[in-house]
Amino acid sequence: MAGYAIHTASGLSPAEELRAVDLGPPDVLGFASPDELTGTAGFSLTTQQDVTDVFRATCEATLETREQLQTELREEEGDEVYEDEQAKLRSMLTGIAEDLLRRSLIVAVKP
Amino acid sequence: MPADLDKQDNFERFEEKYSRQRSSAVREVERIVLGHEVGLDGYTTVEQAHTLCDLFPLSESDRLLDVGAGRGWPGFHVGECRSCNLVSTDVPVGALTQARTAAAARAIRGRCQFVVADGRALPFPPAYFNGIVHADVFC
Repeated sequence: MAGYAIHTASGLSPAEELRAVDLGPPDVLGFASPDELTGTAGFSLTTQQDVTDVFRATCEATLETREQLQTELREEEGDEVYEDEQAKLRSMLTGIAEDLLRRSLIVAVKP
Repeated sequence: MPADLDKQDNFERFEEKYSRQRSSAVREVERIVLGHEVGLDGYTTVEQAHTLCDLFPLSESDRLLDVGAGRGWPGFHVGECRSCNLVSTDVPVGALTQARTAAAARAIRGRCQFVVADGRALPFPPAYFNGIVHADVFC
């Protein structure tokens, strides 16, 4: 099994975990470590490679490009969807900047 | 109780998200940011999709499962570069409907199936797949 996962940084306090969830993708109700996630699914984690820098760059580029094309985006998807998406990207960038959110390549195998 | 309500809200948010077709402006954003239009749902770049391909030494007869496939990226890419069979699963029907439409115009067509299923209770026998790919699903 291989893929990418957004997760919290390790060693956060309970308050920091809550803030990380607030700042993370709105579809996510809570976070577990990649080790916990793969273990819950019956797999054993073999590789975890941090790709947060690329995650940050993708979010920044998306935010900026959407701002540049906001006239077209607002027209096609509506103001509410546009604003929600921009807020989500800003929120995740804040979480990354505060060292709360991470994105990693995780590879796991069946034991 | 609040968690259950949140999950329901979450499901409805996904359903609503995938009920919308991707606009031309959204596709243009993707072309500018990634250099390609891939049907992005999450944050997986083209280079990261290539990395996933390298991690799956699959052959034509093998089966790859894409959990939480969304509109198909990056599972389509991995299935195509390995020329294997692909089963894309997700909960929102709208996501898989869009994925199926996208697949029809790609090399993966004819080797891809779409199954509405929750990743926590997949309707497949043990060891049915030779690999599992996911992107921004496990969080």
